[in-house]
Amino acid sequence: MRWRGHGRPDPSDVHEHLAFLHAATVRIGGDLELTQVMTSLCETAVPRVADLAAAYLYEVVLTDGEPPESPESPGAPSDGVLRKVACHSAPARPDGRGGAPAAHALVGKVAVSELTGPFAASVTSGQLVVWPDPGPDGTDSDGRDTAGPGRAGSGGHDDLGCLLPAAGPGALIVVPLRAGRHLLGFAVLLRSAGRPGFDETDVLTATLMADQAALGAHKALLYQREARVADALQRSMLPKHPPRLPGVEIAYRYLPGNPAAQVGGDWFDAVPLPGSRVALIVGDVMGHGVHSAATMGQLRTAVRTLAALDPPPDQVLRHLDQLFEETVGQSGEQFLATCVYCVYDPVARRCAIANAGHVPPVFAYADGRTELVPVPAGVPLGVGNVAFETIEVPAPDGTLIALCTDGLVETRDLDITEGLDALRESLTKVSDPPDDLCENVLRALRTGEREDDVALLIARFDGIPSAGVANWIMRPHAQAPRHVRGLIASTLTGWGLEDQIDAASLLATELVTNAIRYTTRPITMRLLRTETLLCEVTDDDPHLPVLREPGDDDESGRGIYLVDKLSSRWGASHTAAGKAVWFELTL
Amino acid sequence: MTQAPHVLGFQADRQTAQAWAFDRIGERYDEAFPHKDGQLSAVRRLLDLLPPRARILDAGCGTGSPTARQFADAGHSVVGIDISEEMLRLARRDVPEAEFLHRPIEELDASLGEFAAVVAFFSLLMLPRAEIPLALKNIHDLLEPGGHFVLGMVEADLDDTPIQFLGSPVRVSGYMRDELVALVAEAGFEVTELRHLTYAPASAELLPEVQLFLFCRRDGLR
Repeated sequence: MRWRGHGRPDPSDVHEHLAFLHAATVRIGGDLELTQVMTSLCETAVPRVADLAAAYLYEVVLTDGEPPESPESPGAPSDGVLRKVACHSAPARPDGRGGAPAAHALVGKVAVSELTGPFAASVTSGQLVVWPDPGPDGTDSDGRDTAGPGRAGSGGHDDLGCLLPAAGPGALIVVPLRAGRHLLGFAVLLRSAGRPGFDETDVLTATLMADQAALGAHKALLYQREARVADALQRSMLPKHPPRLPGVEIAYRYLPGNPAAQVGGDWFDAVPLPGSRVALIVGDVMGHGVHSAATMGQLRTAVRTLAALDPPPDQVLRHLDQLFEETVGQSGEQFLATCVYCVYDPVARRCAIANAGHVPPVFAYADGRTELVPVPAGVPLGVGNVAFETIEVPAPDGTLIALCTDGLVETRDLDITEGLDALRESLTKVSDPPDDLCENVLRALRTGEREDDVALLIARFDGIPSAGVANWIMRPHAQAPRHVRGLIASTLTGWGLEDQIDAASLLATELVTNAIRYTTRPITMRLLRTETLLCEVTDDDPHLPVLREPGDDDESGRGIYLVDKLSSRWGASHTAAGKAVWFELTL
Repeated sequence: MTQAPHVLGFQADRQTAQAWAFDRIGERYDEAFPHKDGQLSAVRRLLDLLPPRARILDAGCGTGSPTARQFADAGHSVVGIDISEEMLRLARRDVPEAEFLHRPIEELDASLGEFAAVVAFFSLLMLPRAEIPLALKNIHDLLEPGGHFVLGMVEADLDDTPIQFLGSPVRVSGYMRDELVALVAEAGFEVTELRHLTYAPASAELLPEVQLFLFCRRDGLR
């Protein structure tokens, strides 16, 4: 390194310059977000290195997050568009002379093919270009000092090309932003007329800072890409629309965390269960990124599968804990997850809840009271060998439940107790639709400023009046279809639904006939009257009916075909003891 | 805790097993079945029909709540029978003015004396179908001529079928409403009214059930 000026450099100058470079590289390298890296580059370069600094990146880098590779030729791609992503300029001097052109005067976007002058030269060579060329003899700045403003508007100005404003600089550096084989864009450093031009030290400093910025930007791109993959993965594995179920109204929200912090493994779900019940689930895989999102996907699938078998909540968590140990634990990474599992029964008007180390549920009652449900906290999934406990709590009509992840109620400025208090306070308008309440809560807890991701599920328990429910258990013998027809006729008459008796009897007979063919244990039939009429038959045979077009000579297989043709909806699912098959008639 | 009898063994004694289950269930029964609206209103209807200080038999009285309590409060003389000592202990504690005996329904006889009314709420369903007609006849014979009988059952088609009830294994029977009415008539009763309603127990372990209440009379002849 050759220091400009006379004799050896003053050691205190060297020390001071190294301190500047250190501070600059720490600042530039400390950011994980693309434009922030570039902003740091520009801000650290001004005023020490230049009066104005701007960073241009290839548009394809910004849109696709993929830097163009230039392995063969040293030059940059000759096509494409450069976009200004950061710019910083020093204020004009008090004497009114000099000062940098205002940052906004720079062209915001330019096609590479339109570039001329030093910019074009840097693009062509892929190298740093200094203007005016300091010359082989290292002409000192005094020689150019008068040339800057005097040459503005002359041929020299044309050299600057279309990129720069008319009030041209005294001196200019264009430096490629290159990280390995990836050329991301260029940084432009300007000195105003009246300031000495760039010397060798300045060029080296600019190179160092640009390299640091390019590395930082490349790292940011990789992070962004992983965050995008994880976010896409996360979103693809979360439910889209809450199910519409009788006796309960459900809404949920997912907010990814700060892009630098990346997404976490928060999830939520609402799984319809036999008997018009519903399982509500919110969970959180500890950690962030693709692994957490993938683990969340596994857990969500496992929970849905377990939920359908309908064991008590503590058993669901116990099975989940085991699964977690056997599958996720095998990956060699230490993963933990928390989860709260709540089954709401709109007929009994009760919730059965178990917790695996998760934020406890909040209940908000119709009279405005709120409380944390005192479900034992349990331990996270993955700890292993610790029992979970189910508690049953009454859920009177109009009660709200809010399930969330710690991202909502715990931040750097808010401990979890304060966060839960804030959540409870934001749930006082219990008559609002849950979807509006979700918005209220997210607003009240200022989720825009959060680092961690947030999952929130709010449901209002409306209940189903007992008068609209009937449930029978019966032996699977030959009289069962006759009993079922009698029960449907008397029940639907009592409900004023005489016009549905024929269709309901026909279809229920099909389900019951099918059920008693294979089972030896008692079967159940449930009728549920809400906006629709639901009929559900359960038995202990695990084989689900399959819909197929019966052939002309088929004796069997017509039942479910008929159900499919005549009902508005139907379905079948596994239960712990066998299966449940149901159909719905529109009223 | 009482020892489980040989519920599954060949020596299983049906009655002991049933009693053991209800000893275990104890106070949980009333927690799982609060607000017995149908039962309460059935008793209120019966109270309107009774003379003062009538003798009443509560067959399968359980914890004595709410039925033995209701009759005692109305000034009647109540005898309650049950097979579970634990249930009887709770009943004696909560309704001290009534008399409670350890006696199975299928062993009712004239030694208990005559009653103006008998109620059997969800107790006959603990018997196998084969034993229910005899139990109905015994109840019939305990009533004075013109006496009232109110029967509460769960509508179901079961015969001594094992089920899990509040965590304990019990065996239950049930009829469809038309079958039940016919059965009660065969035992010599006149069925004056049939009520049915859906009751949702306050327990996630129990299904909602359709409850049947039959209001019956013994004819006026000896």
